[in-house]
Amino acid sequence: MRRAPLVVGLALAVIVSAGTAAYAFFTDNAFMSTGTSTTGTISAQSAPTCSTVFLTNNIRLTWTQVNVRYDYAWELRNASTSAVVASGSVGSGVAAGQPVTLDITPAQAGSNAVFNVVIRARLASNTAWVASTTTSTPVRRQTVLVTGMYCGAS
Amino acid sequence: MPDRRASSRDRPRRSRRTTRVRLLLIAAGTVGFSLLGISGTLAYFTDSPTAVTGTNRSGTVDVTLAGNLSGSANNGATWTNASLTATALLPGESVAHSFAVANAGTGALTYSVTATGSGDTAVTDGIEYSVAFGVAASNSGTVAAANRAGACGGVASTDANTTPVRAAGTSFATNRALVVGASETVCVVARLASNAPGIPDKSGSAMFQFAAKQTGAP
Repeated sequence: MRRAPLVVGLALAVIVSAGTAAYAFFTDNAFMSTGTSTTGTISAQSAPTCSTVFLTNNIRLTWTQVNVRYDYAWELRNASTSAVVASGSVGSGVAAGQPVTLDITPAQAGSNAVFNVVIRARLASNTAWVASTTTSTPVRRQTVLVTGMYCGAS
Repeated sequence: MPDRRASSRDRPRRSRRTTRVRLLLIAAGTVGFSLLGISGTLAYFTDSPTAVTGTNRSGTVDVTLAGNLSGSANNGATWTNASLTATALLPGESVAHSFAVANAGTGALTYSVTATGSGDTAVTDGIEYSVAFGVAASNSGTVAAANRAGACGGVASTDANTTPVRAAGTSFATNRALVVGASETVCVVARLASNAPGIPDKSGSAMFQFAAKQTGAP
C-alpha cells in the first residue's frame, strides 16, 4: 500500500504534463495586397519606308525605334513560296524615336524574284517577348543592266 | 514466528486506509481525465483587448502597416499598397515601396512575413519579390521607356535577390521584434524576372501577411 503515493504522484505528473498544451496568446494578422499588377506587351513598329541606297544596288527599309529595349527580327521571304531566304535582327541599342535601318542586298535575295521583308519587334533582352503583329514590305531583285534590289513588287 | 495475519482489531484500520487511497486515486483520476480533456483545447485570442482565460496577461497586439489596419476591428483586414501595383511590366522591370510596420498595441510583439501569389504572373520566372528591413525604397525609370527599376537601400533588384511568390506561399521573415510604440521600415520590391516566359498582357497579385503575436508566444 506504500505504493499508493507514488501512483498518485505519477498521475499528477501526467496531468500536469498534459495540461501544458493548454495556452493562450494574442495575435494580430495584417495583410498587404500588392493590387493586381500586369505585364506589358511589345508594340509593333510603324510600317517601314523603302528606298534605294545611293551608289549601291541595295534597298534600305527605315522605321522609328519604339523603345530602346527593342530590337527587330527580320526575314526575307520569297513572295511565291514564303520560303525564308535571309534573316537577322537590327535595331539593338537604338534610342527611342531614332531611325532603325535595314539594308537588303542582292546577294541576300539570291535570285531574281519578288520578296517580302517581314519585320517583328521584340524585346532584345528576352526574345520570347514579341509584338503580336508584323509589318511586311514587298521588294524585288531584278536585273536591269546590273542586278539590284528595288522597292515594291513591280 | 509471529502471526503476521491481521488480527480482527487491525482489519478495520487497514480497510479505512485502503478506502482513503482508493478515494485519492479516484479523485486524481477524475481531475486527470478532466484536464486531459482540456489539454486538447488550444485557445487563440486575436487582437482582443482583454484576456478571457488561460493567461494572466492582458492588453492588445496590434500591428499596423503604413498607419493602416489599427485596432482590433482590423484584425485580419487587408491594406492595398497601390505603390506596388505595377502595370505593363516588361522582363527585368521592378517597382519598390517602403512603409512602416508599427506596434500600435500595448504589449511587445514579434511578427513574421509570408506572401502568397495568384494569377498568371504567379508562375516560375513571373513577378518575384524581395523584402528588406530598415531601408527605404527608391525608384527610377518610366513605363514608356520600359526601364523601371526599384531598389531597397540602394541595392538594385535582380533575378538573384528576388524570390518567386506562388500559391504555396513564401516566407520572408520570422519573429521580428517590435516593442510597444516601435516601428521599422519595410521595403518591398516587385519585379518581373528577366527571363520571364512570353506572358504579355497577363495579371496577378501577391498578398503579404504580417502575422504578429505577443512576445514569448510559441
